Amino acid sequence: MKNTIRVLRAERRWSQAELAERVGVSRNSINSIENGRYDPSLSLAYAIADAFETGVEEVFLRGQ
Amino acid sequence: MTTLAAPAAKKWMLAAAIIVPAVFLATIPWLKNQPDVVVYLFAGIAATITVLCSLALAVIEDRRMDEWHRTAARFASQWGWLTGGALVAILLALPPVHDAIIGASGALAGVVDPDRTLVLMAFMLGFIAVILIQSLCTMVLSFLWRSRKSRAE
Repeated sequence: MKNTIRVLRAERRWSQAELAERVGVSRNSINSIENGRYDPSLSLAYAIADAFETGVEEVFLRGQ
Repeated sequence: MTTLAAPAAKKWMLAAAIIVPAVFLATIPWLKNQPDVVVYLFAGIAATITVLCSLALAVIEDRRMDEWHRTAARFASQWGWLTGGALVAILLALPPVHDAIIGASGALAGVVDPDRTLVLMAFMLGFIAVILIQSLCTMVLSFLWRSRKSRAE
């Protein structure tokens, strides 16, 4: 699933580790999700969107 | 979602799960000269401690994993068990592996020339028992999980 995590992180100047800490998961999780190699659960997707203070559809792109 | 800090309990459980079987193996020469009741008591205590520590380790490890690690663990255990089982079945067809099993059994039991057929049959029956009991436990847990997750409120 395509996502905008890399862009959202860059806008906030967050590292993957920093986002991982904010969400409460490992950096491996964020890295895999960001690169589209792992699709997160709904709760984790919401947690990532919450960390960016945006909607989940702004982070994860439907139908891709 | 996760608590990534490793609890101190994990180190104790890991140490016990390694040290207890090692101590049991080290006491085998002494146990050979003991009455059966002492041998069974020692084996029972060692097995119980090791199994309980392993279960506790699994629970601790599961609690501190996030979903990415859980998915990785699920993938590894699903295919790891299958691959391991298949490898044992293949290895059991090789004569050098037979010799290694018989040699190790003889050395641990203190028997100079153990019966090859008996040792190999016992090993294979043990292997089959592990596979059967694991399959049974998998079926039971799968049934329990499905029942729990599909029940109406």
